[in-house]
Amino acid sequence: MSSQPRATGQAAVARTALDGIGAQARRSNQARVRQLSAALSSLAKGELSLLECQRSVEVAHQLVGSAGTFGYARVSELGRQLELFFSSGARGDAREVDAVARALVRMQQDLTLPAAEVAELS
Amino acid sequence: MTIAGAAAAETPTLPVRRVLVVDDDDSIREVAQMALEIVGGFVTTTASSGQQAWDIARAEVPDAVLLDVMMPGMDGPTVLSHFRSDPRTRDIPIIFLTAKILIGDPKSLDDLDIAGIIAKPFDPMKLPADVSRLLGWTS
Repeated sequence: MSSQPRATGQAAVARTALDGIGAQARRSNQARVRQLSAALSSLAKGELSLLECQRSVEVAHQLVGSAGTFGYARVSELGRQLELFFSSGARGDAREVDAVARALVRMQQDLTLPAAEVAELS
Repeated sequence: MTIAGAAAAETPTLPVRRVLVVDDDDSIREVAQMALEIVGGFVTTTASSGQQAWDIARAEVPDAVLLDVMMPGMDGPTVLSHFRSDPRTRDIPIIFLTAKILIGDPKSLDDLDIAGIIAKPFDPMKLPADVSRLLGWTS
């Protein structure tokens, strides 16, 4: 008997499990984007603390790994951009801050859609 | 020897590989566990922090560890140094699972005494094959 059907069956089970975990990851990543948006608001008001900035580096770093793993490649790439921004102390000029704000909007938009749809759009 | 016993003796049994998955991100930990168990056929244990990983490893001595680098508290490199300083865990191969950019720096790999690096994001369906390749595990 060929092992192919068993392998195919295992892959199907894995894909189903992956979808379930992916839905949970999407909610977590939406919360991370909201957290980063709040940090950017703090920055705009001149109230971004060192702690919030450091925490934002960690949150953006988690987004890089998680979003990409669950099919949101663009969110992952933008997350890297945000990780660099906050790890440099969020000291960018107005143009850079605007780019971060636009990246956050794009990330929010992507995460409202299932990963498969985002992949088709990008 | 019984017929069944003779057949068993002739059929090589594959060793059950036990992998400890360490990541503070629930979803990453779960997807890695799922992939390693369902796709790879490994037995896994998980830990959500470096300290928990260290405690589990000393008790269970897994065959390998898939270790996140950037974690609050005890980070990956710190966990690695603990492993290497204890006779019970010294020889356990460790693979870093990281979104940090480390790949392409062989010197740092040598210094770290790890079996390899798997970059995040990763393809869950390919994770077991990547782990097996880095560890030289063949089916």
